[in-house]
Amino acid sequence: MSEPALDVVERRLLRERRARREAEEIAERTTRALYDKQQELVLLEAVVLASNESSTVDEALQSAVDAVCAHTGWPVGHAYLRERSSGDLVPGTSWHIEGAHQFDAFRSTTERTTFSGGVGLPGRVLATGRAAWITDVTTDANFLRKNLGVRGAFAFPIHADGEMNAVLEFFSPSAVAPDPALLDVMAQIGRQLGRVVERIRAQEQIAHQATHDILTGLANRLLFLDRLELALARARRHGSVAALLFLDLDRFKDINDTLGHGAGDELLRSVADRLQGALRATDSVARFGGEEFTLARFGGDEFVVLCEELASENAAVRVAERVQESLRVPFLLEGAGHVITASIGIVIASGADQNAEDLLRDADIAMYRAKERGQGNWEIFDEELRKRALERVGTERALRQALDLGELRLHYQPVVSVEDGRMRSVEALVRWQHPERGLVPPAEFIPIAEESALILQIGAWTLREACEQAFRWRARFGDEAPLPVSVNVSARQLAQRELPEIVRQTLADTGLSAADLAIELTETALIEDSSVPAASLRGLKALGVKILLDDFGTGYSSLSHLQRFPIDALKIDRSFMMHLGSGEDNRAIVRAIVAMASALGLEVVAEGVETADQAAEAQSLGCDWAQGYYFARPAPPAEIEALIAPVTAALLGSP
Amino acid sequence: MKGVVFNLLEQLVVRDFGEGTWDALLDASGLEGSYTSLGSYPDEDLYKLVSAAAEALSMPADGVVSWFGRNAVPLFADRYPQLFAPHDSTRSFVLTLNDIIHPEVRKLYPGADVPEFDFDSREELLVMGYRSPRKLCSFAEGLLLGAGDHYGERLAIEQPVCMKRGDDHCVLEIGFSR
Repeated sequence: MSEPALDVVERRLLRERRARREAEEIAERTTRALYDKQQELVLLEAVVLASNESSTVDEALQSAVDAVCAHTGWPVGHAYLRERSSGDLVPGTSWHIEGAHQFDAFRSTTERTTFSGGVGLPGRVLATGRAAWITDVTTDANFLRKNLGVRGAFAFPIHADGEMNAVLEFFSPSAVAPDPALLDVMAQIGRQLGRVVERIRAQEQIAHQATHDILTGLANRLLFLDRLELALARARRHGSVAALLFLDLDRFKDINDTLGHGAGDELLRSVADRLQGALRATDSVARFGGEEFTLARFGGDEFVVLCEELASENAAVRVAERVQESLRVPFLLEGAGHVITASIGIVIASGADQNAEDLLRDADIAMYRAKERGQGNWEIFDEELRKRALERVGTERALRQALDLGELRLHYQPVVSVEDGRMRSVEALVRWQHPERGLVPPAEFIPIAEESALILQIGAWTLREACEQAFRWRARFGDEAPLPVSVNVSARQLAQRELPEIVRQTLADTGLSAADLAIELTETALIEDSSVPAASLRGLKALGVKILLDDFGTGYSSLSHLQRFPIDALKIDRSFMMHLGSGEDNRAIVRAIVAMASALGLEVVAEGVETADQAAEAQSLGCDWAQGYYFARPAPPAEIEALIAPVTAALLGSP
Repeated sequence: MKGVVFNLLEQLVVRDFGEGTWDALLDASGLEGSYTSLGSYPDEDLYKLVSAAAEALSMPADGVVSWFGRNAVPLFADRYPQLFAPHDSTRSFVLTLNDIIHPEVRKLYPGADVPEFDFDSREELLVMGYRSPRKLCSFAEGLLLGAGDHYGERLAIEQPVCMKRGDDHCVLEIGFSR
């Protein structure tokens, strides 16, 4: 075997060396790739872990910014947030900064800089929706934050729910060549963060919906109670003044009934806006002491305001007045202006052991009191109100029992001919035979009943009782019976669509002829902005029942009512009789009413005739009929019968 | 010391002084000479080769090390152009040593024991501090000069503080001119 030639050996050596070099390069590349993959995995894992543990978007972005900085070794990271209204990128609060003060100027500049699409590094990402890399910002024409110590830069977007949500940007103090592999990893991080943002948003939305009113976006009862409890604790600790305003729109139901619920909702939203405006625009005097407000909607047309850090109790009243003032400009609904007022109940947190529910109840009571005094009023809750409210609750409960126990009675007051004083018909009047208080006058319980559905039960009972009585009288006294019997119907009863049906059924059950029944109602019941009362009246009229307009001449008297509604008779309010002696004016009004009634073919009853003089006046003014103590007081059926009995007995010849 | 350093030295010695010189240096150092880039070898091997070269070439050892550093830079630039491309000056390139270049070296050669520098600017000068038990400040100097060659700059390097003169670290003051 011969020695190989030297050049052959050299060629072999060269081959070997080249093979070794290639093997080394492969090993280096593989090592490097492995290293990168491991680091990427570490980074992705860190981002996934941290972002899944985040409960806010800011937290998730912060952890991602930190993780990317740790991975790249770049000292500066920041998240720009997309503002929904403008679509621009505004500086966020998530920062990662290494180095003592090196990047202070960069940070403060960034915190003052907003980017729109296409402008600067974040704007480029916003415009393209893709990551961007700048090797050296100092030589980049489209980079704004120059000469602030950063050179290499890249940024990538986060998309959530189909739109860009944030742009994460990172900076190195040195120029750095683009690293496509790194941008690939950033894209993965962007997708991961997008999912996290979607999840957090969904959670936040659920949490928001649970604590906010969907219609107005205001706090709801749940959240408000929470804030109120905290405020009470603070007020107790610091001895500061807190107050609660309970606000209810006056006649909101009318808007809903006449314009529909769409308009009602629109009104509630506008009111919410006005209230927020009123609570924000505090003047400098009222601001003294740093007032704070929480506004909530409790459903329906009820709003509540929590006022904290008030300078004084008077400040709560000023807030209430400011709120009412804010509603003064009419609301535009369905193309027309509507004046809306609010009744406000105010309660001052005294610092004593009050709980949130008690305060709300007290504010509610004060609000009702304000409403009673008319629209657009406020009332401060005090002990007197509490006592009255408690009494009212007690009365309502007792009245409910009274109905069940049969403690209600009907008395009847004769309506007589002014000419000869003979009884023509009667008005049924409800009385409460209270086991302890004796006979309770209607003024003490009917208003309370009218605030609840109790009035419907009392009304139904009265109707049936009166019909039964009238039937017996007709049977017993024939033509001499003092009929029709008139029964008072409240606004609430009249607002029931089924009222004509209830009356028809009652007549059928008792056997009374419709002609022997009259319904008395007040004008107030007619002016409800609803078509229901008019329909009820027509239904009653169709049955053959007479319709009497009570308390005529007071309040909302309008001639149009007499034309629009099928009315048979007017009862002139007692106040005219009382003041007939005091001047010509009343006399002239009564004369005009009588003339008008006669022209329309209506009968006229003078109410509240208490003296012989008044009886004479009523006659001279042309009233056909009168009612009052001068002729007869309301009395139980037996006493009424005694008034008829002698005549009838004489006619029939019985004892 | 990573094997890649020995490979680079071999490449340069063979290029400038011929195949036989490398064999002679190995013989003189009593080394077998099988170095693979990813392997790790005793620092002592490098020192032996350097002193053998100094003797063979009648040069001071620091001169050999500096020559090695300066001539290694074009080889790096060839292999890792992306580290050089973003810069237009030696100064900005050198400032990325701690943050970019050395981390990259560690990724490529796991376990590489690269030194940490500290940097300071004094008027026009870049002041670079170097601490390493290897005391290879001349290698750093050579690399700096090589980088200067790459960016077409002339460097003036002073070393007022040096471990070889008993200081606890080295300071290189670098002036740049074109």
